[in-house]
Amino acid sequence: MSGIGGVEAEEAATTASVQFPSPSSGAIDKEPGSYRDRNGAVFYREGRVFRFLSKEAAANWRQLERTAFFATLREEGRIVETREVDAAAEGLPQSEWAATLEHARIPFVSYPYEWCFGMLKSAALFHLELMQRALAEGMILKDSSSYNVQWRGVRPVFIDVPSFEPLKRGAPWVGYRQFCELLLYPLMLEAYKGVDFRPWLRGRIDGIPAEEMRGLMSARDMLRPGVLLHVVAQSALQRRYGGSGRDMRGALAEAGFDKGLIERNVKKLTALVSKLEPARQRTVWSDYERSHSYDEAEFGKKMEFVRAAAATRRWRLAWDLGCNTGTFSRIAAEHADYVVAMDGDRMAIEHLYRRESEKAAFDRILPLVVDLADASPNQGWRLAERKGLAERGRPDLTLCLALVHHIVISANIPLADFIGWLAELGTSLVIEFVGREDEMVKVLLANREDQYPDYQPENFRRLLSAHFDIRSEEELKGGKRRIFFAEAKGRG
Amino acid sequence: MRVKPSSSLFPLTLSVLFVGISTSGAHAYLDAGTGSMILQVLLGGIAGLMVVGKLYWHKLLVMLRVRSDAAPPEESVRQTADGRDDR
Repeated sequence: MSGIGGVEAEEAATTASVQFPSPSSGAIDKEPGSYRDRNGAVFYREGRVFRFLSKEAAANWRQLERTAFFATLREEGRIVETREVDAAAEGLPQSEWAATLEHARIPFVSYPYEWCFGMLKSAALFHLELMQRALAEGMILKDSSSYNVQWRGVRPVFIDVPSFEPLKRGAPWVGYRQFCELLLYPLMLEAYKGVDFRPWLRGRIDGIPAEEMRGLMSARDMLRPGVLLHVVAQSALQRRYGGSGRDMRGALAEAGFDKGLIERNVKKLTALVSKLEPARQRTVWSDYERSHSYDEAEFGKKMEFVRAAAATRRWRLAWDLGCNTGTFSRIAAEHADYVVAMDGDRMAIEHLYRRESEKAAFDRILPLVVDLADASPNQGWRLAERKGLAERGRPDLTLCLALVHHIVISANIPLADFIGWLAELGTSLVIEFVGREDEMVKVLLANREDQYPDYQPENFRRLLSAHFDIRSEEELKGGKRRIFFAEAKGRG
Repeated sequence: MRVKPSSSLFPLTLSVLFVGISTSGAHAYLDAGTGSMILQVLLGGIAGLMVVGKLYWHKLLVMLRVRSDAAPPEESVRQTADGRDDR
């Protein structure tokens, strides 16, 4: 897999990647996640995304460019916009590489362990569709990493263009095992066991191995679609032959393995994945929109406040922290180029994802499952292959609505720490303080020791004022809550 | 009731089929997994059976010494349980 950085990849690169001088203006930052396939290397320069290609990869690219499916998918924006550039004219040190591509930027890079079930399922089906269309024109995907899919809002975009290569006669689908480990098994885990797949994917960069998945399957699960073949048989065969050191690819080619077998497998997998649905459709917050603690008039007031704050300027990137099902993300999207809507509740994000997918304009809000108290870290090789949240792009507007009480009371994060973290992001802020008289706070405090003397409106305001300039504020729910619009000090 | 992989039908049948096969071929940066590749034959349905047939035929020729076989002995196959180390 080779990633394509987000809006602020240059920032990430200063801490996470190797820099080397460029003959022309602007340093080149290598993408630290782009190292597995030696046939290419992704790098950034002055906010643009480039990729060097080996001789073999360049030949593959030229073949891909002539296919009808690639032209169509690129046109539709489903494969990232890509063009070959003249390295010399761009002043890029192509040296031993054979060609250079430039890719369009992905607004905010995300990882499968932040996606909801529907997103992972979409990515899997999209991958199978790419396989099927490529096979029809004599090409195949050389790997099947879920990380090769990124998003424009809720629209999946395939970013690893050099993954397409000509299908050699008799070659099997090399990425099948990876497809199972990174896409099929995580989906099965949530569909068949009701288990959240995200910690598994975050815990292991290569996904869930067949043997481990086999260990998670009960006798009853063996009867569920796909388990016997894709899990049990694969695990048994891997255990038996995994270390044999034999050239199975050569043997299969000689025995007449052909494209038809891969096409059949892809077709069957498509049918299997299409039917997978999350086992637990409802969690505490997924019906929040119908059960929140506001009456209609007060909720309208809150919406107007957020809308007025968001309308003060055009924002490049907005974060909606604790977005729930995205009511306020949509308001932010009216005035922001891109909104990353995050919530720790996976079904709330599922709900948001599905609603957004039904819209005609669905490429501005990216829903992600993120628990702020345990957000995605820097990880992988040299802790730089996958990046933490802020490293992928800092927001210039952040919404924290009905969130602070969860951060301070549920997650035990000191209020000063939280406000300090927001200030470090350098973002403007729409933030709601939920007072102690509010019934939601009372619920949180009902069964725990009140060790939160810092959780007071005066203290909140003092901390906020220390880091931000408060531009406007309003009382909500008869004084139980208060909403603020604040900007980073020295701004505006 | 759990089906033990060692007692499942596939490895037993295919251990006969796939041992003794060795030819050269192109390699990718990703290890497809020998077991996963074998499974792809099974997933191929009737077309897969044809491939299995051909592999059987090859094995038969080897047994009848019509065709030579340069593959290592089966014991070396059994020694390593997991082929993930090379990914």
